[in-house]
Amino acid sequence: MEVKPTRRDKDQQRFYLLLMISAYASTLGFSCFYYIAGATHISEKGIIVFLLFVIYGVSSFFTQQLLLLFRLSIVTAFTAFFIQVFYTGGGLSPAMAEFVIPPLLAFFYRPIRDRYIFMVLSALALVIMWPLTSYGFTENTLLPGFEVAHGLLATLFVFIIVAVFTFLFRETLAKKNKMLNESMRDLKSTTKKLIQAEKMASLGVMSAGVAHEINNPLNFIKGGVGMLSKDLKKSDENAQFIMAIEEGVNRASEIVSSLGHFSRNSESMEEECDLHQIIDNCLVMLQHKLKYKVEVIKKYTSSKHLRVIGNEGKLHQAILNIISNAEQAITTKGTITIETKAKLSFLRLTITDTGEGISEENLSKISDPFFTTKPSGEGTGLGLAISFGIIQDHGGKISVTSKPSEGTRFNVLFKLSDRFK
Amino acid sequence: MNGNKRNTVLFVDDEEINLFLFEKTFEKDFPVITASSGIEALEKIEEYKSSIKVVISDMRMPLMNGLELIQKIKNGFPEIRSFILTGYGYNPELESALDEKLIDRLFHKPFEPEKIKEAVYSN
Repeated sequence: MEVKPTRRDKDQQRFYLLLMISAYASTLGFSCFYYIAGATHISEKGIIVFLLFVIYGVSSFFTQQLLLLFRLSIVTAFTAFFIQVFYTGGGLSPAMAEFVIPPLLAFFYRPIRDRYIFMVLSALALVIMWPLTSYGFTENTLLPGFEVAHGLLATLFVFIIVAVFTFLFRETLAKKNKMLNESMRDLKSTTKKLIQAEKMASLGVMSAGVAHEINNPLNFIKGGVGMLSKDLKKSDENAQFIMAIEEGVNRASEIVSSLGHFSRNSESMEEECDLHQIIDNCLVMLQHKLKYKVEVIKKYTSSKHLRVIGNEGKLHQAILNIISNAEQAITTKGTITIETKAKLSFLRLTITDTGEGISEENLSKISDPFFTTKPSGEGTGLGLAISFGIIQDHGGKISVTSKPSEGTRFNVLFKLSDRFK
Repeated sequence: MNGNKRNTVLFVDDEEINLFLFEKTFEKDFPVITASSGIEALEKIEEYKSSIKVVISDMRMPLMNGLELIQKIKNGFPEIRSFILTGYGYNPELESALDEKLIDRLFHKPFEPEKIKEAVYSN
């Protein structure tokens, strides 16, 4: 079975590499120093420790057991520190401070238990060094005159290791924090999208029910009026009333029918969608907002068979959001031009408004979920994000150009269905 | 109105007003028999048998919906053409029934008399 490296694995590999490099540098460095300082006991064992570390380093290329290697390396380092302290004066050795290093290294891998084990081990080593030194078991094998240099070197070593690994620890922590923040943000956005989708779905169920119930009484009116009008002559005054009723019924039934398109709860992406029909339905839905404010100019291509394969309900939603945004961008009076052009197997839809436009700075953000310039409570900032998502799901491309105080243009490119070429 | 008087239509709807209006709208075009439920419709079919050529049914009715009724009718009388006249704007069940040719046509309320007349006359 192939195991995919996770981010944590990668971090651990990086840490292991750093650990090995510091192990090689310090074992070689200390061995050289002790050789010069006459403590051959230590330098000989230092070389053995170096070789052990080389083996650990090489074996990390062949095994997945990184945890075992971590533990071995730290135990080896611990032993090396013990030998070093033992032969440089025991409790009096400045190298005593090195016992802080093993528990520190154990902070970089799991299980957390290891940190406590190495803390206890280090504490034990410190405690045991006292009687060992008092009763004369330890010895200082350094040549006279090297004490000061040894003290400086050991302290510097501890200082560097603590500094480097503390820095690394902080960095890992910051990275983890960032990841946590990212996933929190993702979660938030997914939740809101889910809520929005749920809202749309329940709205759909409701509007489908309402549409069905309204269509029956509309049928009564239309049927009744149709029968009444049969006996009337065009010149009759009552004929005008009848016409008014008929017009009313037709308009109401158009609204109800376009409502039905939004409530299509199907998940299918295989429906044949008539784009012109969809735009017209959206305009009917927005009629109450557009009526006194916006002049809508339609420039539809005359090519037939403008079918896009996808989900009709979702396409309605996508286009409704775009037109609705165009309407909201127009503060007093203006026009919205909706143009369709067919070329080869593509359909270009442009929706241009003469509204207040979008600043360059905001233009790149309009597809971000929750980005809105509306006062809080008035816009969720999801509308256009949803539109972008739906259009991309349909294999379409959407781009926006805008000039502040002149207007905005949405360009949408759809691939036409092969079935209708 | 030309020939096709033999095309008797059975109209099924649970709303009395719809039955009344349908009957009145088409009384000069073709004979209309009405039924206010699926059960009643099946009884009427037994009663009139060969003269009924077209069934137009509402979709949502108590006890037996339009599709269930049409399925029953098709089992006994496969030659009867069946339409649905519904208040639903979009209904996946109806769309697939149309695809599977269980129903021949689908009309929406409020209906256009001309479209229904044309569908009844065409064979």
